[in-house]
Amino acid sequence: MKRSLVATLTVTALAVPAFAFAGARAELSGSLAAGRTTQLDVTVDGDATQPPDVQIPGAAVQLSAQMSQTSIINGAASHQTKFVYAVTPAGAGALDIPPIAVATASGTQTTAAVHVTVSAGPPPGVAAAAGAAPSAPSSATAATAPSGSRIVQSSAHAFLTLDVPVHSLVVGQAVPVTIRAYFRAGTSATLDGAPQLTTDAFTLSNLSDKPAQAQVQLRGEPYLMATWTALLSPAKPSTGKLAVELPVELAYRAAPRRAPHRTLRDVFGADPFGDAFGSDSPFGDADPFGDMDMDLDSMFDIGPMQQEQVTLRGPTSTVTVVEPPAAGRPADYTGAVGAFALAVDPPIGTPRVGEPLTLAFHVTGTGNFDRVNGVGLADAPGLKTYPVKRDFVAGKTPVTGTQTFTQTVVPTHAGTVEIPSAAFSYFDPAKHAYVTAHTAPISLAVAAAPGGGAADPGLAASVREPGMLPNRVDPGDAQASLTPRVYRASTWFGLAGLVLATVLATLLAWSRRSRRIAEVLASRRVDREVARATEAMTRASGVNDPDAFFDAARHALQTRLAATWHTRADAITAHDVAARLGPRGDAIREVFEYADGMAYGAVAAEPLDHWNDVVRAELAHLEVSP
Amino acid sequence: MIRRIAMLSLFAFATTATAATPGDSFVAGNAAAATGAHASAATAFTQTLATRGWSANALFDLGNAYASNGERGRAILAYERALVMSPRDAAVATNLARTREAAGLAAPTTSRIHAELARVSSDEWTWLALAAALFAAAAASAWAWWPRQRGRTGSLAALGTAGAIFGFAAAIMVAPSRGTAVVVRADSARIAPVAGAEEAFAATEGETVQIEQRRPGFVYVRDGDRFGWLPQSALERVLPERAPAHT
Repeated sequence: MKRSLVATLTVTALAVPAFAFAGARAELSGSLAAGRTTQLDVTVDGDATQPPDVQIPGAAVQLSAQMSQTSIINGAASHQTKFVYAVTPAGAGALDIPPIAVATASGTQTTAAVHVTVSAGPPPGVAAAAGAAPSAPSSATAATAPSGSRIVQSSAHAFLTLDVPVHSLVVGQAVPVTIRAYFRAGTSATLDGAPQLTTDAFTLSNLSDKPAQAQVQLRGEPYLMATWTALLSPAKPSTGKLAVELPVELAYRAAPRRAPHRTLRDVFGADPFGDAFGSDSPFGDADPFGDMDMDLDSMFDIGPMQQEQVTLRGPTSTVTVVEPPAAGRPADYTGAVGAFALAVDPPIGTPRVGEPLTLAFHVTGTGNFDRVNGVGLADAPGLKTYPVKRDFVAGKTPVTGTQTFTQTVVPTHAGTVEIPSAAFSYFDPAKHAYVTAHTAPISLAVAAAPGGGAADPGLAASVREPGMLPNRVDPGDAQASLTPRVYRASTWFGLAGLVLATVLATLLAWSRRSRRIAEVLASRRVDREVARATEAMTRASGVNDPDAFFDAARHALQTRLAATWHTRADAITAHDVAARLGPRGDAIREVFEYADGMAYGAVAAEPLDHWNDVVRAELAHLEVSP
Repeated sequence: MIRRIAMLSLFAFATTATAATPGDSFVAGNAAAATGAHASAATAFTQTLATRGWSANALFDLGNAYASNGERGRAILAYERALVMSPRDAAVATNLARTREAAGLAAPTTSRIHAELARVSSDEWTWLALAAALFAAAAASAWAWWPRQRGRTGSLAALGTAGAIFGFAAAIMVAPSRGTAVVVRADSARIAPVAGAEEAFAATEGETVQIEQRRPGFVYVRDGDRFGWLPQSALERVLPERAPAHT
């Protein structure tokens, strides 16, 4: 089954002009044959961001790449944009490439029409062979894979490596390995399967589902590197070759047929900047392009498209595998190879007869955790044990982690019960010896079963299914409803009451703390007090009781003045009124003096109705302008 | 007065703690179970629930009796109910898993967050949420009464409110839905609420389903991607609508 497309890399913007030219130009890279793809280059001066829509009657056209290049010759810079198309004529005969208009920043440039003759295509086999010939892998074909694809160890377009950290292993041991496939830039690769080993003496597990991809430079050339990680485990003793294979379909452009090979030196001569800087070269005597002896044509990859199915095979490693020694092999050895540590979590809570306890054994370390087994306890005096459950938590690498064995145990009698030591054996390849790790025994003080029920006799027979825990002898706490409290209306009513109480408390605090509200409330209290006093005045006036009238009048005026003067009402005297209000307070002072004099038989000259009006007028005046 | 209110509150919220006494149904149930009379044990434990109320231990023993009697659907129901009251009970979880395994049922899949939250029961989450709400209320009142401490009290009130919201959300998340039910008798779920309707799927004994609609004698249930009408008598809700005396 085909896997994901790995990548297609296209090298752009590295081009160096072979020569300068003016205007737009359409160029075919070679002769045309029916059914065969040939490259068409459309080149214009300046920047052209949008590729032109090229349509050629009688041929399929597909845009392959877009490149831009800047050249400086004798101090003059020029910039060109090149669009590369793949043209595949449908049949033999005349083919007209119409003028192609390219929009650039300086206006539209149009190529001249091209008229060519398409020859009849060669037979497919011949075509493939012809196409493959120029870019054949550097290493010859080694064999033919069962699927029919060629097996290649390396080629100019792709190769494969396998990194094995150690070359001496023990059966069962697991070591992390890294498989890397490299695809040269411009090569399109489609995986036809996962990497696999060339021998059945090893197994490859935990192979990453999708390879990690990265771009790397190898010997100055860009490659796409696909990386898989996996665990390599020897299945049997052997001393042999180990390699990895990867079925893949490659598509790439073959190198052009034009010759000869051109380099920067060929283009620019010995030193492209020799003339520009004269004898005062900024680079001194060194040649800045001395190391750039590159193949310019290969940078464009402008040959015809080639496609082939191959099986990449990495270099062969020699790995020696031996069995763990039979001598000294512990009876409980289950095939674990690595370096491990064993620990146990003591049970939590008060142990009681018949109540289950949970023991957790942790095996932590590095190695083949799939062979880490057999950790747990058997029935012991005063202890009934149940099957173990296992749970693995992986670490940072595929071979590290913690395997936890959880076991339920039930004390069957009260008093001191000892949880015995648990053991785990493994083979340590570093020490080349078996190691047995032990836990420390745990002593439990087991309480009697609650409720007075005898534990043992009834416990074991109360369940029939294997592995199930027996009945409890204490009915425990009971409740009237099974409905969770969150579903009960009482919970939400309680919460609503709490919210309401908080709102009320907040409002109360706010009202108490707010100065403006306090002032309004105080003002209302004064108004109510004054109103009560004026009513008393009216009543006293009606019954012609001067004592009561002036007493009420004084109280009303004192209350109103106290609110303004921020002092106690009953402490305000006629003298205070005269001192603070002066002539404006004469009427009020007179009322105070009458009120004071009534006890001594003073008599007002005017009728009480008159004073009633005077007091009301003064109260109104004080309220408006205190 | 405060002491009286405190005592009343204790009575209002406390569960009933009772011990087994010789001659009661719980002891009789265990005695029957010890001799392998699991049907009699189931009857006795049901009687215990009816007289004492819901108890995790009694539900556990009832589940054991049903499981040993071959009634795996009712056993799973009893264990599920016990887990509502006591979600950290390893013995209940173990026996539930064994019974499901014996019935050929897959363990229900839950998210890691749900599994972590479910270590605390819904009621415990509710109490935590109410405590957080009380804390938030006190902080909000303090915020109003002591203006100089508003920065601190405001933060505490916000913290308490967030804790209360989280607690209630967790309580709702870990509580079984009201529509969660267990198939106690294998039956055919049909495409319509009539006995002769075409079968939609076969409901396995012990399977957990969600009730979505009710019709006389039938309920419309969903189990993952499967839908259909089941006879009402074929399943029981995990959160019963009636007191245990009627179950």
